Amino acid sequence: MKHNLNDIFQKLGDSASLSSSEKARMRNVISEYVSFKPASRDVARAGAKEHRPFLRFGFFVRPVALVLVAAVFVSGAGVSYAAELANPGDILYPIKVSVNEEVRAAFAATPEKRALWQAARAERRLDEAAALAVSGNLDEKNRRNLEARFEKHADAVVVNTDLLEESDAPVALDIVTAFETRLAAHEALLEELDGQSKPVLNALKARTGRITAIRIRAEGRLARGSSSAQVRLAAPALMRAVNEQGGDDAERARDHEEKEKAGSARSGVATETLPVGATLINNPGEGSVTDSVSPEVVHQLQTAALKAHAEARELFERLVSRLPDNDRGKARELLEKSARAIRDGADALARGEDRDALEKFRTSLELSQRIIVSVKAAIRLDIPIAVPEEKSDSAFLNGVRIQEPTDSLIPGILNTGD
Amino acid sequence: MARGDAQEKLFLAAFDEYSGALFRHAFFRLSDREKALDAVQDTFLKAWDFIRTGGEVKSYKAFLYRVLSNLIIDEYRKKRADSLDMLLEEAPSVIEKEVAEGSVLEVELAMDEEALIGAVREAIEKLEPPYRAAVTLRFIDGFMPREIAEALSITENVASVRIHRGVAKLKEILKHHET
Repeated sequence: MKHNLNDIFQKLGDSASLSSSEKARMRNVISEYVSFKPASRDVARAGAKEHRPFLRFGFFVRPVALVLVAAVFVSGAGVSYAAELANPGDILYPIKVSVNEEVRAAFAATPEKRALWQAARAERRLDEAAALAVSGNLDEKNRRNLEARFEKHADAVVVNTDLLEESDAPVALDIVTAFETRLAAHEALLEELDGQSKPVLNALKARTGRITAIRIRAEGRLARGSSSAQVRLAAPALMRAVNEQGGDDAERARDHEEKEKAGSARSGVATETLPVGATLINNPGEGSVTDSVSPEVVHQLQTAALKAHAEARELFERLVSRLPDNDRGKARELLEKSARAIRDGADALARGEDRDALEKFRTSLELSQRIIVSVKAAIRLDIPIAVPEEKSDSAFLNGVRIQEPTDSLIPGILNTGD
Repeated sequence: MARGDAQEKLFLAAFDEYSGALFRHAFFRLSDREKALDAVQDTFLKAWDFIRTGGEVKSYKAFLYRVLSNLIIDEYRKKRADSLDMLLEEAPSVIEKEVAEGSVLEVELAMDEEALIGAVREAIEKLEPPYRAAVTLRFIDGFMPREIAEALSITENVASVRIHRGVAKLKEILKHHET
């Protein structure tokens, strides 16, 4: 039988098409991405209006300007710049943390800027801990030094985002969500190193609960802004700390840490076990507690996931030539998973399954943060990139894990401040 | 602002116009629906990153296919470090590039049309990546050799050779399939 392959190809092509729902959900992802990453001319005009905490967390590029300012003011430019590469135990390390970083901190005039810079500093300490653990130099002295500094920075993030949350919940939510997931990625990395880094890991875990508490509260405020339901705030101890003025960030952080401990002890529930991703709503008059997902929160997380994915991809592409072959494959695998989770989230959103969408976007965000942290670590420290096992849709990372709210847990939290 | 808005509209219009075709292309290159969806989504995200930072796009169609092709090549590389580079280096012979496609597309096989469609689908999967790209672009996407050359960043001669060899290999695979 004689056939013309051209006809066969045509029929074959017709058999594989993008369904209208697949096209619609992909369009949704693309148009979200376009809205939140507008063309560069608009970005320049919009100026400070654009919130890009993820990009600001990447301290490969942006700190250069301010560090240079520090260099001019304080010492020779060479010393200040070289100090940026120092680890605890190095001669130049005090210049890095007590001069360079402090100068930048002094320039951060708003709670938003302070929170971002302190988050970056906290991350720097974790990078240093990993570097020392790899080289076998994470001795007791260095470890204590790093722990104390990490705690101070993380506490300052808590205090500043707490302040910011009242005036600008979306920005606060953006910052804490980024910080929370970035910390989880660092935690996963440190878990893979030997026992030397374990104490630092514990300090990290101790702080993540507070970050999570702020995120939940910001989610609540965001939901309240669009809904008639009254949102009950999840961490009243933090609220009290916010209302107290005076003293520096660290003092306020210590103070509210004590109050938080007291609150947790009363309720019998540690803030570390707060549910993630759920907005806690207490309907007026009913006294009952239900968990629901606000569309605004889902939308914000979708944007965060898209931004983080873009940042992860940009970083990977910039550094891919410096990665060993095996790590390239792993990083690509993570990028694919992250992209797929975004698409699945958009799909769930289209089906009206907001909670599922939220989980998917969070999964994508966690994966992208993991790419960012592990690609840098692979290049700087020769730590192989690991792809986490896919236990469930969202359980990619250890540490700041999503915990489903339970009936016994939620009232405990809500009663804390009563 | 107006210029940015116009860019966004153009970009989304390009999505509406080409996403279906790009998906079909990705599907035949990757043989995996999910991976094809990922690749198309990533193509548009990547393309927007290029455009928003001032990159100029003369023809959306060629540009998008080029981005997608690069992503697909990445995917192949991830799977195996095969003889891709060697194939990419091949020099076209004068005779091959002058062969017309017409008669090459006739195939004598004792199969009905439905069976042949299934057999061609399987045969495409067995083609080496460079031939698969050329054959898919030519016959599934309906590109001319010049457009294929642009989408794959190769010369028009190399594109013609790959189409010709790809079809020859495809027919060879189909004959084995029949026996």
